[in-house]
Order: sequence, then structure tokens, then C-alpha cells
Amino acid sequence: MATTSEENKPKKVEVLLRPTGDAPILKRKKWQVDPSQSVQWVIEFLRKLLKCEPSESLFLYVNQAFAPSPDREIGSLYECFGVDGKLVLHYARTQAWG
Amino acid sequence: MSAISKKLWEGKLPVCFELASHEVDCPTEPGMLYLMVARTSYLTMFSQQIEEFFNNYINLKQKDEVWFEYNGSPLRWHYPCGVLFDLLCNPATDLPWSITVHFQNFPSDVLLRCPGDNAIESNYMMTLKEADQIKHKGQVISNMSRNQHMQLWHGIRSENFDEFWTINKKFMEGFEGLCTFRNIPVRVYFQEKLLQRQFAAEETTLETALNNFFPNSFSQDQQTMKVVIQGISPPLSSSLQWLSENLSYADNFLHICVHSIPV
Repeated sequence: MATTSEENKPKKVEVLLRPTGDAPILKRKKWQVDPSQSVQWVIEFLRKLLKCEPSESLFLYVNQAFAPSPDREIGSLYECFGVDGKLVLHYARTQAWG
Repeated sequence: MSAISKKLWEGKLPVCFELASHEVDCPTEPGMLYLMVARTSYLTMFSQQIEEFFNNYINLKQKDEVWFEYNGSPLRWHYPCGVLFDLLCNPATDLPWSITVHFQNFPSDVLLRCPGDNAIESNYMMTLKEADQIKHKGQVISNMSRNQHMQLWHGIRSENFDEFWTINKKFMEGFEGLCTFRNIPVRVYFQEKLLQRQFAAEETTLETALNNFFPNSFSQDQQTMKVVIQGISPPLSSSLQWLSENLSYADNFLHICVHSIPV
């Protein structure tokens, strides 16, 4: 049987943003994100929150293992990697995994 | 390593690359570049060869990164070539596959940029890591050496079946002593959209999986949509575990293209 189904798909995805390495900590870590938003959208959102200079890099990781493609939808990441109703994303200023 | 894996690995698409006519900046016609493209490859692997072929015919001052288009759709280079073909083409009428080459007006709202070979390798490795997270909690890939990772990529680049599969077979082992994977990584492409889910291996068939994406659209006697995996339409009763072991792409995802059948 399938592990997820259309019925219990949440309207918004709760995203928990966690820093890695020397990345600064956010005052607010939990955000409600529309499942159709892309990874790129979250990166840009984070860049604004962290006041990143255009020259600074920012990387986003799932399961502390892989960086999803910037055009991936948050909803599709939540389908496979959501835990306890949340999608945990780690952010880093330098490449942290892989 | 099954005979099916070998056959799929050798699957190639004849592609005709043609420069977009409004980008021709030369009195002589550039002609067309014909290549046999492996289903497991990525389009931007051929960028350098394509650029060399068309470089004398374009306006170098307006030149941007090369990108590809078919029938009005920009082609996402980070999907395997076989997936793009199954998604957009009809093998009965659309061969050779005629792809338009562009060096201007890069559609950065639709396509990812591909700054070079490292970007293609990185995209492949990240997708493979994602698949292994689903199949074995990432245990197989994290136990491999950097050399083994490089061998996988080199095997794809050089289209060397043995080099690739000597390493890739480890991803086809069951999870922690089981005969099946922990879960099966599946990507479904439907109407320009990528949908991704994972499925428990036991008793899941292609039909169960597809009905999870498209409720009540698939059954043995009534089918409103056509399914293509690696260029073929497998029976809906096929076990998803078997399909994952035999019809996955090099990134270890089972990529399923779904088309509406016109009524």
C-alpha cells in the first residue's frame, strides 16, 4: 500500500529551518509554506531573512544528505521526507553534504 | 544485473539538433547535427559538441548558455534524455527526435542553468542520494568511497555498462537483510508536472501506485491514461519492486510518464 494519499495531504507544509556549520540561527524556525512553492523560492526567502549578500552562497539540504534540485516543489519533498507533519530543511553557507 | 538492464542501458535515441532559424547569423546554412543519445544520458552532456558545431553560425556577441527546445517546450536537461522523449514524443512519428538549439534568451524562469560538467554530475549524485534515502535510508551511498561515486558517473559518461553496474548493483540489494527496498522511489511526469512519492515494496503493483497518484484512473479493464517507462508500457499488474530493480534509470528512480488518452 502507498504510504501517503491525496486525502491527508496538508494544505500548507510546515517547514522547519535548521542551520548547519557557521550559518546564523533564525529567530523564527517554523514556517508554513505552500506545497507548490519551489526549493528556489525557499532559498530566496532564506537569503532575505539572513540578509545574504549577492556574492554569498546558500545551500539547502534534506535529511542532512542531499540538496534537492531548485525547481522541486516543497510538497513533493514533504511526500517522501516529511516527519511528524514537518519537513526539516538544513541550510548552510558552504557545501555541507555531498 | 539482468539482461533487461543491459538492453535498457544500450537504448539510444536518434536526435537531430537544429539551430533556431532566427539565431542563424551567417549567409551559409549551418546544417543539422545527428547524434545517437543514450536514454540514460543528460542533454547538456552534448553541449560542447553542439556548441562547436554551431559556433560559426551564431552571433557571438548575443551568445548565452546553450539550451534546447522541442515543439515549443524548453527541455529540462536535469531529466534523463529517455524521460524527456517518453514525455514529449510519439516514437511512431517523431523519430529522429528533432531538437531546436538556442544560444539566446535563456528561459531562466523554466530551466536550470548548467554551468558545466560538474553541474550535471552534481545533479546526478544528488538525485541518486535522494533515491538511496528512500531505498536504504542512504546507507548504501554513504558506505561507498568517493572513487566508487566517480566510477558511477564515469560509467554513465563513457556509456560503459560494466563499469556502472559493478557499483550500481549495490543499490539493488534489499534494505537491512530484506529482499525488498525500504521504500520504492517513484517520479511521475504528467502535464509538465513532476510528482514524487515513495511506496512500500510489498504487494505494491504499478496499478496501486498509479491509482495513488490518480485516484480511480487505472484498472485492468478500463484505462484512461497511458503509461510509459523506459519507452515501454509494462502491464499494470507488474510488481513495483521488480520494476524498480529492472526499469529504473541510472539515478535509481523509477521515472513514469503518464499521458491522457484522447477520448
